[in-house]
Formats: sequence, C-alpha cells, structure tokens
Amino acid sequence: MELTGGKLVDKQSAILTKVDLQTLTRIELENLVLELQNQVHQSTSDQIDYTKTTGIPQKSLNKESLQEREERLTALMNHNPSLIFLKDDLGRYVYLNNSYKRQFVGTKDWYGKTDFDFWPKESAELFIKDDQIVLDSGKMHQFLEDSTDMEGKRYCWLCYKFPFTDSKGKKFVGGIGINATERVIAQEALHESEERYRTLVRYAAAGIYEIDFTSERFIEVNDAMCQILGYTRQELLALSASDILDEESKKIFLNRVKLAQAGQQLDNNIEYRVCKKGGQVIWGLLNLRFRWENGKIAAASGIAHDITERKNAEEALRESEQKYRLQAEELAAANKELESFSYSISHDLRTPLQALKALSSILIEDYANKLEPELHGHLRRIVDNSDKMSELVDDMLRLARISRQEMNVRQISLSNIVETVVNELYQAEPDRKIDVTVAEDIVTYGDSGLIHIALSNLIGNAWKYSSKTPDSHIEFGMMLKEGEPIYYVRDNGAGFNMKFANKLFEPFKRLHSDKEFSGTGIGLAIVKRVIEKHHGKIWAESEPGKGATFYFTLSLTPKDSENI
Amino acid sequence: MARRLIIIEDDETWNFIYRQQLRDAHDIVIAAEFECAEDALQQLPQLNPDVAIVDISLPGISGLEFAEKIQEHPSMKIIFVTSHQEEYLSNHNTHGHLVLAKGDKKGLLSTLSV
Repeated sequence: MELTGGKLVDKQSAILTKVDLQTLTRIELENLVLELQNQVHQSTSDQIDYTKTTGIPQKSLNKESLQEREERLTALMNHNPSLIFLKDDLGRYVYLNNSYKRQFVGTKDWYGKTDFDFWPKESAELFIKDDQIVLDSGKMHQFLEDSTDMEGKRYCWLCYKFPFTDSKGKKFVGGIGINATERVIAQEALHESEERYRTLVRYAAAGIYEIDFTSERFIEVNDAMCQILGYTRQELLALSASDILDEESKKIFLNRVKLAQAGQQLDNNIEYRVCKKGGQVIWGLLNLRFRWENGKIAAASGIAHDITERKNAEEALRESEQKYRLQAEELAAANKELESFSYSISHDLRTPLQALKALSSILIEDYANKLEPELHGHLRRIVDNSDKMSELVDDMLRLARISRQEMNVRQISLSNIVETVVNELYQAEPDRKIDVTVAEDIVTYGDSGLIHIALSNLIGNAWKYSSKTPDSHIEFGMMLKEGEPIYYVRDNGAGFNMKFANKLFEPFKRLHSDKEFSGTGIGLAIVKRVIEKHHGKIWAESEPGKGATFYFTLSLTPKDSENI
Repeated sequence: MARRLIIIEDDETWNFIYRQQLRDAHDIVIAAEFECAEDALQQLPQLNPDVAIVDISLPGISGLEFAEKIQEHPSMKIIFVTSHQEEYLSNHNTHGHLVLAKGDKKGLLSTLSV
C-alpha cells in the first residue's frame, strides 16, 4: 500500500477513501490490519468483491493467483515508511517490512532474531513487555514506545500491536510502528514551557488572574493573588471581580468594562479599593487585558499589586508636606512680623536720638564756658555714646530697609558697579595709594541699587582693612565652579581668624576693635541680605595678616525679574 | 530788615532745639510757633512770614499737604525737617523744597544764609 493515493476499504460501506496512512485513526488502522490478516489467511478464497472496488470484472479476478496477490500485498507493505512486523510468541521476528529492515536491521539476518538483536537492552525490554500485554489480553493495543536505537538516537513509536493466531494455532504479535518522535519532542517542549510559565505565574510576586466574562468569575488565580486577597484558591474561583471591590471601585470597574466593550481605548493600570476576606480594605493596582471573541469581551486577564503601603506612604507624605508648608508659612509670617517690629523700633528711636544729639551739642557749644571743666568730659561722653546709638539705629534701619525693598531685576554689569564704587572711594580718599584690579565684562542679573550697596560694603571693607598694609591690593573677579560663576573680592590687608568666620555676617559682631578699624559691624550683614535676596550665597576665607577673600554667588534669572 | 520765620512742629523738644540753633542765624526773627498746620494756615494771611520750618510728620494735615495748600504765598521759603531724610531723597511730593534732617544745625544755618 502506498502512502499517498492509498486506498482504504471501509468494510461497512465499501466506500473508497483516500487517506494519508500517517493520519489513520485507530479504527481505520484496525480495519486495515484485519484486512491484511484476511489477505494473508484467505489467499485462496474470493470473499472480497473486487468488482465494487476496482471495477475489474469478477471473472478475471477469480483467476488471480496467490502469487499475484502476495506480490501486491508485499508492494503495499514495503512502500510504507512505518515499521510493520510480525513476531512469534517468543518474540522472534518472522516478518519485517523494508522500512524496518532498512533503518534498523541493515544487511544482518533477521528471521528468528529478537528485539535484543536490533535494539539496546532497555528498548528491547520495553517492546517485549508491550508484546506480552497484547498476547495476554488477546486484544489490540496502542502504545507510545519511547526508545533509542543502537546509536542512542531517540525514537518515539506510536505502535499498534495486535495478537494473531494462525491456522495451526500458533500465536503471533503483529504491529505497525509510526514514527511520532518529532511530535512527541514538540509536545514535550510545549509541556515544559507550559510548566515554566505555570511556575512563573504561580510564584510571581504580583497577583496574576483571569476573569471569565460569561460566568463573571475568576477562572485563574496565582498564589500571590490568593495571598493578597486572603482567600484560598477554591474560594477565590467562586468569586467575581465585583465581589472583591468596594462600592465605588465596583462602579468604576463596571463602567470601564462598558467603555471597553464599546470599543474605547482605556489606560491599563487603575487603582481600586479592594476588599480582602474578612472585610479589610486595601489599595490594589490592577490592570486588565481583555480577550475578545466574536465581537464581545470573553475574558480579562491581568496583574494585581497591593499598593496599600505605597498609598499610605503617599498620604503620609502629603500630610507632612502640608504640615511643613504650614510651618514654613508660619515662620515666614513670624519673620515678617519681627522685621516689621525691628523696623518700627529703629524708626521710632531715630527722633529721640536725634534730639539727644542736638541737645548735647547745644550744651557743649553754647554753654561750654558756663560749665565746670570736668562736666565737659561727661558731656563729651554723653554725646559720643548717643552718636554711637544713632549710628547703630541708623544701621539697623538700613539693614531692615534692604529686606523691605522691592527689587528691580535686570541685567547689570558687576564690573561697572565695582568701578563706580572704587571711584567713590578714591574721591573720598584721593591720596590713598592702592592697586585695584577689576575683571572686565562681568555681567549678571540683579537689582543694581542693592548690588551697589553690597559691593560698596565689600570693596569698602577691603579698602579699609588694607589701609595699614604697604603695597595694598584689591582684586574683583569671577571664577567658574561646575559651570556656575562665583564672584570674589580679595585684599591683602589685615585678614581675620577663620575661627570666627561664622560670626562674620552677623549684625554688629566685629572682629576688630574700633581703635584698629572704625565701623559698627553692620556692613557684612547688609551684604549678606542683599546676596540672599538674589538667591545667592556668601562666604569668606582668610588668614590673619594675609588678607581676606569674600566669595559670593547670585542666582537670579531673567524670569525672576517678573516675580520679585 | 529781619526775616520773619514761623515754626510748625508738634514736639516741644524740637521747638527748643530750633530756637537754640536759630540764635546763630543772622537777621531771623521767630514770628510764631504752631503745633499743627491747620493753625498755621489760619494765621498765615496776618503773619505773612518769609520762611517756615515745617515738620513733615504732623498730626492732622501733614507738612507736605501744608506746602500744597499755601500756593497763595509763593514767596515763602519752606524748609522741611524730618527724622527720616533718606525717605524723601527722590520724593516728588516735596515740590522742590529742601528736606533737612532734624537737628542738622549746619544745614539749617547754611540754607538760611542764602
């Protein structure tokens, strides 16, 4: 029988069916084998009506010899790629088709040999065991025999084995083995990957689930899903998505399903409030992937995360942010009040102090000769101290005014401002011998008035504290650090001890005595305030006797000119 | 002939100080002293002063408002005094009149000698 174009006689209906031998069903194969059996047995009888099958007149067929029939049969058997064989009840081969001979026997003698001669021990034992089942039961069986050949190559045989007794009562086992190796290997690979996938899903850290939309129930849930929800697998598979969502989330979910059904594209990850077993509500991040069948949603699968902790953390963060914001607002308000207070005090102290000064002057100038000499000293001290007080109040006012001042931010040239300041200092002290270096074209954004005040103080300080140094020198410049500009004023004057650096910018804290250098100590506090209004920082480095360098940054941009 | 001067000042201490300081001014006579601008405005026609020392911060009508109201006496020189001179450096409300710091004797005498 040839593989393709082979003809199978259906005993019941005598209809010719063209089939591929490889895809024969069990029943068909059984019939074939029975038919072959018949052929072998009834070589002389004419029970088969060939007229119906081949259209050859019966008369001529009757005259066919046994030999002709056997030739036909042999041709059919030998063109079959499957293994067809016959063994006696002791496992000895009495027939092998050509495919068997070609693949597994070669040129060896085969008649009377057993499986042990053609196959490795284990495979032979397997075959023989199956043969015995057939002999013992007297029935045809289908086996899947997983074997290896002598070279170790794997062969999976889909084997139909049947028992058969000849006219002399001798028992045989016949069989047809179809090579199903590729299919088996593919199935095994599929099974393995299914296993891998199943394990992945089962042990995934996130909940994985599938909902069937006909029954509206969970049809698949992994361990994590059960854990998150607090149900056993069994319990969960009896529930629907609605059962595990709270009222509001239920509405949201059902609405989303409706929209999706209508064809709308939705984002995938949605936060729902989920009810665990026992009623505890947690926050779940669920996503859904719908599966469509015939235009309707058939199922949805997705991943679920318990984000309760995250949500709680977010809430806590929001609360603490709120708290900090309130605190910051309160602080700002308190600061403003303090500033206002300090301003009004300084403001109101001015007048009485001015009166004090004026009255003392009157006493000294107009009544000097009428006073006893020792009173002159007392008066002088009164005047000096009230002068000092005036200065302090004036300084406090100046400092307070810096903060209150509205800024007019635009592009300014620091180089130009420094030049102006230096000129002012020269005008006040034309005889001063000092070397001043000013870097050119240094521009930035800021309020020119305030920056003038700041630089006036910084350069003024450098000027003042280097007045006792021969070859005094002042430098204004800029350097870059990580792309950001840092401006500096450097002198080679008296310098200061870095131990007190943190006091430098506090109002009225002086590091030199009035005898050495005059001043109230408000200058640097004013500078610091100006710098801070420009969102910058200021710091200093120094060594006593070696001069000092004051560094500062300014961080305003064109955008800030609208906001301040 | 001595110039006639009025003082509009609500703090008595300052009246004393101005008087004392004005002793060194030549040919100045203090014609009247007022505690508020309203009183001064009333008496202005009769007094017809040449100079007025006016405190900017007065109860009721302020010194600046007073200056605006006396347009009928354009020949009267006004000298503003204040404790917060820096606030009026670029102030347009002073109408060009001089603003002195309270207690500034030098400034007062120098502007009167002109």
